This record gives sequence, C-alpha cells and structure tokens, in this order.
Amino acid sequence: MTNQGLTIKDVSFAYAGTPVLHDVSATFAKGRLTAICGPNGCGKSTLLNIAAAQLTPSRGAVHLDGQPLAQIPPKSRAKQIAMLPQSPHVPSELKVRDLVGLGRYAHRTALSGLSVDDHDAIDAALKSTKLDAYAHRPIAALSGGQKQRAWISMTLAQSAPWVLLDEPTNHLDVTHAVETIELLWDLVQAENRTVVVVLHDLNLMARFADDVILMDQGRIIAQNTFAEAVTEKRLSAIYKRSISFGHLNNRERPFIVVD
Amino acid sequence: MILRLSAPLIFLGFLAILATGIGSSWMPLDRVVAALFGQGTRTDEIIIWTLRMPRVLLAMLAGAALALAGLLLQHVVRNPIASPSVLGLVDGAAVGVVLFLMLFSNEANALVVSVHWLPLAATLGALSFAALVALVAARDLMQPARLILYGIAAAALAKALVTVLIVLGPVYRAGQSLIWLAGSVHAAHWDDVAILTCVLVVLTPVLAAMARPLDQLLLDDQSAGATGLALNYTKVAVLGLSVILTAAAVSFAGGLAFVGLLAPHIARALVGLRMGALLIVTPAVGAAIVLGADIFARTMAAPLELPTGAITALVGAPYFFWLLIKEVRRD
Amino acid sequence: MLKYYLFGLLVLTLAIALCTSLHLGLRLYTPVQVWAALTAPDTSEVALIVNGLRVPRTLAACGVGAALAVCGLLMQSVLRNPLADPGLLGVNAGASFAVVFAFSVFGVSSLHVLSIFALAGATMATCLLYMLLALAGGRMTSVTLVLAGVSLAAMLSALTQVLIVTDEGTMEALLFWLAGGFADRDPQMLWVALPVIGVGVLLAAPLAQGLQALQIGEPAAQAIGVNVARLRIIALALATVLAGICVTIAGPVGFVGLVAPHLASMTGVQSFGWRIGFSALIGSTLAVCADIAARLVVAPQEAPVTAMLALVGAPVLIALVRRQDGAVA
Repeated sequence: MTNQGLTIKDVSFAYAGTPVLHDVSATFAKGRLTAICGPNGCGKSTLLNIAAAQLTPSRGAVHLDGQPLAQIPPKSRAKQIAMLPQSPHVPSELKVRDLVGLGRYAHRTALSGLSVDDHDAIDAALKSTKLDAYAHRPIAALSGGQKQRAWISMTLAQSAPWVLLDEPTNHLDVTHAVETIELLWDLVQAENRTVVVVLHDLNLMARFADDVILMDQGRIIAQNTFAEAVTEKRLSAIYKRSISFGHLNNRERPFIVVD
Repeated sequence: MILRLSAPLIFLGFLAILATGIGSSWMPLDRVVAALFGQGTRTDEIIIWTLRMPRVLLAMLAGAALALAGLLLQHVVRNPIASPSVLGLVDGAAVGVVLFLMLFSNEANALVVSVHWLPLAATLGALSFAALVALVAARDLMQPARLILYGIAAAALAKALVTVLIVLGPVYRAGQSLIWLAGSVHAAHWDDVAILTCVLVVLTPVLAAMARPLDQLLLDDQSAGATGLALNYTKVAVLGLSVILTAAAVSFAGGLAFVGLLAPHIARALVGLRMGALLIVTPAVGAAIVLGADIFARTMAAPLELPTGAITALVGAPYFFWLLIKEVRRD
Repeated sequence: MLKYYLFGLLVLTLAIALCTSLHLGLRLYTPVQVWAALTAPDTSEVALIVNGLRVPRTLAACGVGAALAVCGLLMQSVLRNPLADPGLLGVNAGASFAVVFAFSVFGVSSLHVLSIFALAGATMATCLLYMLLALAGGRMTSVTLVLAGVSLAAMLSALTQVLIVTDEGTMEALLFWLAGGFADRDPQMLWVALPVIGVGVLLAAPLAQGLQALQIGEPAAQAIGVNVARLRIIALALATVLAGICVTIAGPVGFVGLVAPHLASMTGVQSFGWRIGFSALIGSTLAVCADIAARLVVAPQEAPVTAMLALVGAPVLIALVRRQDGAVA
C-alpha cells in the first residue's frame, strides 16, 4: 500500500527563510477527488506544488508509486502528473486549440508535428470541457468561465492519471464554479483519473470531495474521507469562526454556514 | 500560411539583389544576376564578388542573428519590449571588442592575432555583462521588468567602460571603435561572412531542437513546468543562445539598434505565435531590415555613408513608441 | 536640529572637494601656491593653470552638479517616478542633437546662440516624452518610462550621428563637447550660466510645498488645493531649463540627476525644501569629485567625466531598482 499512489512524507518547506510547511505527510488515494482546504497562507498551494514537483521540499520526499519524484525526468513525470497553477498566463492572442496542444509537450519528440494520438487527446480534452466550438478562437475572445475551462482542457490533454489543480474556481461566479467542479468529478467517475484540488469554497468541498485534507499554519489537521475529516469543531478551530452544518432533506451531504 | 512563410523570404531575396546592384555605380539587375551566376563581365564579377557581396551578406547575417537573439529574449523574459541592447548585451559585447582591439594591437595599429578571435572576445564581453545582470537579478528572475532596468544599468556601465578604454587606446583604434559602435557593415570581408555563417550554421540545429520548449514558454513558468518542461535548463539555454547570437552579430556589425526588438514583432504579425514558423520568418525579417537600412545608409547622403545603426534606430524608435503605447494601454 | 548639522557637513564636504579640485591634477600644488595664485595672480605657471584652468572647471562642475541634481529631483517628483533623470530620459540627447543641428545645418558657432538651441532641444525632448506619457494614458510604470526615455535618447543620438557623419567638420569641432566634461570650457559662458543656475535652483524652493503634496498622489494633492496641472508645467519647465543650461556648459552629463536626490533622501530629511538644498549640495560634490577622478585615473590623459559618473551611477541605479518593492512592473 505504501508504495502505491502519490505520497508525501515528512515534508518541510520555507519561502526565503519563512517556514511554510512543517513535517507534512499525506497520501492521495487513486481514483478519488481529494480537496485541500484551509485558511489563507496555510500552505495548501505549496503542498500541491510540491506534489507536482514544481517546488523542491527543503526536507522530506515525495514518491510516485514508490519512485522518488525528484528522480523522474520532467517529461516522464508530466505524463503521470498534470497540474494547473493558480493564475496561469499565456498570450491572449493564442488560439484555444493551440493552448490545449501545449499540454501535449511531454508526449512529443523534439521535431515531430502533432501525432494522431496528440490530435485525439486534444479533441477529447476540448470535448470534455465543452470547448469544441471555440477551438479556433483566440483566448482573448473567451469569457472568464470559458478561459478557466480552456486551461483545464490543456491540463487534461496532458493525459496524466493524476490531475492537480490550484483553486480552479477562483474569480468564477457560482454557476461556473459548480460546473468546473462537476467537470472534475466526471473525470474521476468516467475516466478513473485522480483529482487533487485546492478549494476555498467550503460548500463546493462539502458537495463533491471524496477525501479532504484540512490544513492550518503549515500542518495537516485532518486527512480522511469527507465524513471522517470534516467536522464543525475542526472547521471552527482552523477558521477561527463558529462554523456549523446545515442539512437539506433530499441531500446526504451537509451545507456549511459561517457565523 | 505557406504564402506568409515564403513572402518575407522572397522579399529578402529581391532586396539582396537590389542591394548588390547599388553602389558607387548602379548596376542593372540583369547584370547583377548574371555576375552572381558567373555569366557577367570580369569587372562586374569583381565588383559583385569582392566588394558588394560580403557587405550584403554580412548585413543579412547580422540582421538575422540579432532578430533571432531578440526573439529568444522576448520569449524567455516574456516581455515584448525586451531586446538585446536593452539588456546590456550589445554594450557588453562592445567592451569585449574594444578590449580585444586594445590588447592585441601593435604599435602600428595592426592586429597581432587573427581577427577570427574577435567574435570570441565579443561573446566573452556579452557573457560577462549577461552574468552581471543575472547576478543582480537572480532574486528577480520572475520579474522581467526589473531585469530590463538592471540591463539598462549594465548597459550604462559598459558604455562608460568603453569610453574609458577608447580614451586609453591608440587614436586610430579609437576612431575605428567609434565607427564600429555606431553599427556599420561597410568594412565587410569574406572572413567576417564566413565566421558569422559558421556560427549560424552551428546554431541552426540547436535552435530547431529548442522550438518546442520555446513554444512551452508561452505558458507561465508554473504551467510550463507542469507540462514537463525542464524550466531552468531551458531558460539558461535560451538566454545563452541569445547572448551568443547577439555577440556574434555585434562583433562584426556593431550596435544595430532596435533590430532585435522590431523583427520578432513583424514576424509575429505575419505568422502568429508558433515557434516553428517564427524561427524561419524572424531572421528573414531581421535580415531584410538591416539590408534595407544599409541600402538607405549608402544612398541617402551618397557619396557619404551614414551609419547603418543610425538608420535602424530612426526607423525603430518610432515603431517602438507605438508598440509601447499599445502595450501600456492594453494592461 | 540634525538637519542643520547635516547641512553643515555637506557644505564642508563640498568645500573640501572644491579645494582638492584646485590642488590636484597633472601637477600637484601646495596650498600656499594655490592661495598665492588666487589672491595675487601673476604670469607664473601656477597662477595660469589655477586661474585659467582649474577654477573654471571646478566652478563648472559645481554649478552643473547642483543644477542636474535639482533637475533630477524635480523630474522625479513631477513624474512620480524614482528613476527619472535627464540622461536616462533623453533630455540630454535632445539638447545634444539641437546643438549639433544648429552647428552643422545653420553654421551657428557662437556659444551663446548654441546654448539657446540646447535649451530648445531639451524642451523638445521633454515635450516628446510628455506626449508619449499622455498618449499612453499617463499610466506608465517606472520600467516603461525608462524604456521610453532610453529609446527616445537612442533615436535622438541616431539623428546626431547622421549629422556628424555627413559633416566631418562638425565631428572634429563638437566631438569633445559631445563627450561631456568640465575641462576647457569657455569662461565667458560660465559667467552667464552660473547665475542662471543659481536663480533656477532658488526658483525651485517655492515649488517645494506643492511637490511635497504631489507625493501622496495627484487626486489627493488636487483635493487639498494644489493646482497640479500648473505645478507640473512650471516644475518641468524649470527642470528642462536647468538641463539645457547644463548641456551648454558641460555637454550631456548623466546620472547626477538620478543619484543626488536619492542620496539626499537617504539622509532621512522629510521636508521638500531641505531636500532641494541637500540634493544641490550632493550633486555639486559628486560632479566635482567625478571631475577630480577624471583627471587622475588615466593620467596623464583625461578620462571622460561622464564615464566616471556612470561607473558610480549604474550601481546606484541597480540598488534603486532592488529597493523598490514590486512597483516597477
């Protein structure tokens, strides 16, 4: 068991001398949607970036299926783990399809054009994000929600079984936020991918997350299935506000109210 | 797409033939073409092959190299108004060149070593100033704007050094350095052309191999890294290539202002953001700019020659202003 | 109270620099020799060199340094940009271009007329820059402003180059002037220019309160009753005149305008009026010291003062950029 999946063991990290993570250990279970939640500055994004090898921990190690992540060459790693950072940027005159095509980098050799596989993966990614109709428009012509879907589409085109996303619902209205998480949920259900997502919106977490990691001040407070990890008491403690659950009669999961 | 790719190349070819025709005496195009293919008169062939061809080729090669350097730089720092001269590379290379001319000239103002070492000296100069900028900017590599300000400071420093060195050096060399600094291709020899060609030929496969990683650099650092790009390695390689290309061009043609800035923009307007096409069109555009500027420089005040670099600056600066206003308004 | 001591200290430093400047050079003179030459001029070599060469260049350095420092301070406050400097922003290049233009196209050789052209050139460059600012919607960041200035300078020096190349006479007559420096300046010009600089620096004083208010931002300054538009035009005009005069005396000299005001603000003095005085004193000292260095580093030859200043100024520019927090982009 310990050799399978993406595991983080005893990891510490500091930005320019300021410690951000203290001896954190976590395991992301395969085939599930894991949400990482916690107040601002608790180290969520840092944890995600370390899991995707975008940051190197000052202590501790990350393993993918038993192999140290640091030793996997970038392209091989990218075939396994895709990550969407918090505020990605690309020249806005780029066409949507070209952006999604950039996700295929790890699968291509230096001089070849796009292969049939590449085209298939790009088309599939555009389709699952409902962007097929916009493929030949420049990014600048998209709305905020569509833009976010285009980026997710690029991440999907990478065809990696692990998909990590850093606050993908930021700056989106309620409808687009819910649709984005539904899309991720479908990935887990239909394509059997593993999704790890940093979320600020506790109600999105409460509705969709299979597993939850709660963080506070650079430490993991709880890590388990939603039902086990998320309690009113824990949330109230880490957010320093009184937080309670509400229930709708036709829903299994609670909704979350902050006093 | 094919048309947009080939149009600049065809235009460049036409410009090259025209440039070969222009000189102290105008040679009609049919005679130029005939001489080029060994079918012309003996005089025509001498004029073309020993006098005009090296100059035309040097202008084209220097323009191509600067344009490529600018393209790489703009992509790696992700700032459309960056250029080799702004980052202190041109003035750094100038320090190398002036030092070389000073250290290896004898009493009679003749070089005691082969001129083939000149590009190496320029590269070393450019590299040391690139290293200086990298050193002070190490903290701010993610902030290209700061990089540019450091570059301007480094350029000022390099200019000051060049001035001091010129004062220290022999008078003749000083004059030569001044002409060179203004950017000029009029003293071109086949040797220069051969060296610059070698540099470009050696770098071509490297550039081709970099096309895909350069495409990934359209993304921000984090996204690019997540798609599997070896970020630090790529950045260092691209910056290094840019330094070598600048130094090679600058060591033979001096500071041709704004070429490295302008050419990538024109190329992007023609073929879009794809690196594969840009790597072909950008050098062609750069070559055409310098060649066109040189034709102008030769004919405007004939029989006097204007510095080619001054012409590129006069055309480049207004375009740059327009670009700047556009960029500022867009944010 | 501290600022009075600091002011005294700066005056003392300047005085020492001025004295040193009279003593040092290709030939070293003793204080007795210099004193004799100043008080009882005769035809001895010492008197000729001290009175004829060293006094004028020292005065020129002192005046130009003060003028450029105040000019830099004015530009930095009006453009609300810590990197503004007449050299970096192309004002010097504009003045140089106008002088070369007048000389080679109109055949003007009188220094007095040339100085009028220098003023016109500086004004033209300032106007061009201001126009760019306006076209860009006035939202230029430090880096954009500097890039605009550097490019403006590049364009104007390209024009200058074209003129010089097409007229070899210009090249010989003006190259020495274009290099910038304080040696061998026309004493007559100096006696006209120095009082003008003095008046210019004094005229900056009444602007101090308004400029101080401008530091909290334009709308806020407007709200507390500053006529921002008028203040801007007056301050920029004054800065331009000072820059133009400096170019006529010493050619294009850079970096004093950038460095001196920052050194002045590093003393911690808050009041803008005092900062004008401090900047002027520091600018003078810098220029005089640079001039002394220019005489000594490659003796018996003279190094260009501009190079000396750049060698000090460029690292300061780097330090300034490093100190700004994220505000450049």
